Amino acid sequence: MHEASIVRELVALAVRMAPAGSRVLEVHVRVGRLSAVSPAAMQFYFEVMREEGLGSQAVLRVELEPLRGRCPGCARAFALAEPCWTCPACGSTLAFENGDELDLASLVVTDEQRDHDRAEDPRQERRAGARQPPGD
Amino acid sequence: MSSVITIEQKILGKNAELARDNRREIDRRGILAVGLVSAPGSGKTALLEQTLAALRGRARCAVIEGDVQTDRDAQRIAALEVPVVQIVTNGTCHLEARMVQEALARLPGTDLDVVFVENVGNLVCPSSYELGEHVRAVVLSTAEGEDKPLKYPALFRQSQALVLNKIDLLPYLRYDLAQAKAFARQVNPALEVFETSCTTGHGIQSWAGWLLEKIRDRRGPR
Repeated sequence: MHEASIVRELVALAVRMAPAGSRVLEVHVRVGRLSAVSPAAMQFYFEVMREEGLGSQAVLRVELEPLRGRCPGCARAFALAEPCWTCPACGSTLAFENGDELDLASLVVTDEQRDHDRAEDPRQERRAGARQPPGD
Repeated sequence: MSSVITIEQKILGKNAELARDNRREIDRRGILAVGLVSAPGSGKTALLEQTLAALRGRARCAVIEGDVQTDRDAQRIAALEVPVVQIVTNGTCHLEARMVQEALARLPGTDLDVVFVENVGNLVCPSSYELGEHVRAVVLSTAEGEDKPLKYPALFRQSQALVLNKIDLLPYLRYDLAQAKAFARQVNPALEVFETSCTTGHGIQSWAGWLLEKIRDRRGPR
């Protein structure tokens, strides 16, 4: 249930990182297999908390990163979709290069400035209307 | 039109930054900070009581207690005349670095060798939040079963010590102690393992001895 606190931080970070005047359409997050964070729980909280500055158009995309490393016993390189602690080939305890990721990788945002220059763009008007913060 | 902006920042970067501030502050004061994490009811507070008694006269201790509700744990520690600050999280399932920062400010400024930070009882959520401790010890009681390191690997991976507590219950349980250690070492081969009972006092001296070594390492040659 710590996903609630994590998503609150995520939304605040996305709001801080988005260029002034733009609207955030997508929030791309990278989660490691050993991070003890549930993508489904993150989605649930995101749909509530995106209203705190991002708006309901914002979508969360969570990418689960495979576990990578090289077996210290048989030197075999691996990329695992599920955690596994011992090497299936030689039985050695595996050491991982990653797994703890909990990163805001990127944002997809509207190009407000460029859109503004293109006054004939019919989408401009719609976007300008939607730019109002929710509740206003 | 839309565009992709690369951010590449840790979501909990702010917490990590505060944890680094905490570490700087406890280093400045020359204190060793020991985090205790576990599921609720594994005996963290009982272990602390025994540890504080074992360290009496050998190290100057203080405690930061984290709980969702009540100051019952802080009362138990205060009864031993050890400085203690209670953090009540009011529902939050883990301690965060900013809570520990506030608690540190309320502890005596000097004359401490070690501060214990007892996290909220939870085997999952505390793993995402660095607090600035030098070492983390995960407590696992025998009645919880031997497979918890495999089911909840994150906390076992980031801890330096594993305290297998309530070892006195072994005759009453179907619990394979060797299997529990093997599972824990699969997840984290570097774990220092202690077997303790807070009822009989078994293993407390060896755990306290390990802590004293860490305290000496921190103090350096004085």
